[in-house]
Amino acid sequence: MATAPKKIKRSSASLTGGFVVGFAVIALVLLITAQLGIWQTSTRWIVSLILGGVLGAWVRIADL
Amino acid sequence: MNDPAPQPSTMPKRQAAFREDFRGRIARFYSGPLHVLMIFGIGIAVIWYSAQQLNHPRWYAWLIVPVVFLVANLFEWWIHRFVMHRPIKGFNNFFMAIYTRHTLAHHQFFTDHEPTVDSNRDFRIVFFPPYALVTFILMAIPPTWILISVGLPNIGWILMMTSVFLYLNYEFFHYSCHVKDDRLARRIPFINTIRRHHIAHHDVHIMMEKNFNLTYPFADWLFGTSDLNRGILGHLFNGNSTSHVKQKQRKIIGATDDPQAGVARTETSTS
Repeated sequence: MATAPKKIKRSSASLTGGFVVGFAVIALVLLITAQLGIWQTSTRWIVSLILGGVLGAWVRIADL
Repeated sequence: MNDPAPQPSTMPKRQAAFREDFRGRIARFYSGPLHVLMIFGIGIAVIWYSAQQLNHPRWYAWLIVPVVFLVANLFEWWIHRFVMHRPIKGFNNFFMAIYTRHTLAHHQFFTDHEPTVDSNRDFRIVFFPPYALVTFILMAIPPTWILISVGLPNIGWILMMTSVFLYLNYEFFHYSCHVKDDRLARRIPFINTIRRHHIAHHDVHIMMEKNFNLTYPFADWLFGTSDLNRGILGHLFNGNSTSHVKQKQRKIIGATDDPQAGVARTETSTS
């Protein structure tokens, strides 16, 4: 009989850490793109939100 | 120089069982390379941004670099000795989580018998999570901001650059301690020193008392918590040598799953 796969509860640290990393990446992308003088403000925000969101979410689902 | 040849793995059963259980708990979406890329990507981005803020710094502005080196070395020693190896309750379990992750997981996964990774999924227990780097950056912001506020912006930005560089230095050196293929690590000055130093620290008999530095063993020398009996230059450039390891205590290894159970040995033998 097949056994059910182990369900591992993610740690609360990865949830808080995901938000921390997400916000940090957003801030960094905004600072760096402003420093480089590339893209319009709206584009900077979109890119930073996408990158921050994806990397922050990954920290959570990877349970770091 | 005493440069013993690598020995075959003698992993205790308990360590093997811990590794199997830990690996079974690593999330499916975890990626070792992405973990490392995120840490070094964020770190290098902060260093680059800080470097862009420099405006023809005078020579004395760079004097902050050795100061940050010193403070970071003492901080690394302190947090490793008094937080990562001590169960401290309170603070919403913040410090207990660090203790659990380090003493109860990292030190079970890596022992002086088998201190190396088997695949890049094992990076999960070698590298700190990326939010540790962000926390470290947040800690460096107040002194940076103060220096900028008092009219010393170059010193402030150099402080930030050095702080983040030393964090990346820590992660890289720590990985070098646990890398499987040590052909390079055994030959590079400082890295070979910290590799021997840290693997010795993974001996369960000395891990609470000795060898807390993870970059350069300055604070261990300063506070007498090194397993070596030699001066500061000898500590920094010790390499793989075990010639100067203190030999004052002998212990009987009693763990039933220890391959050397019942055999008398010095407290500081390294694999």
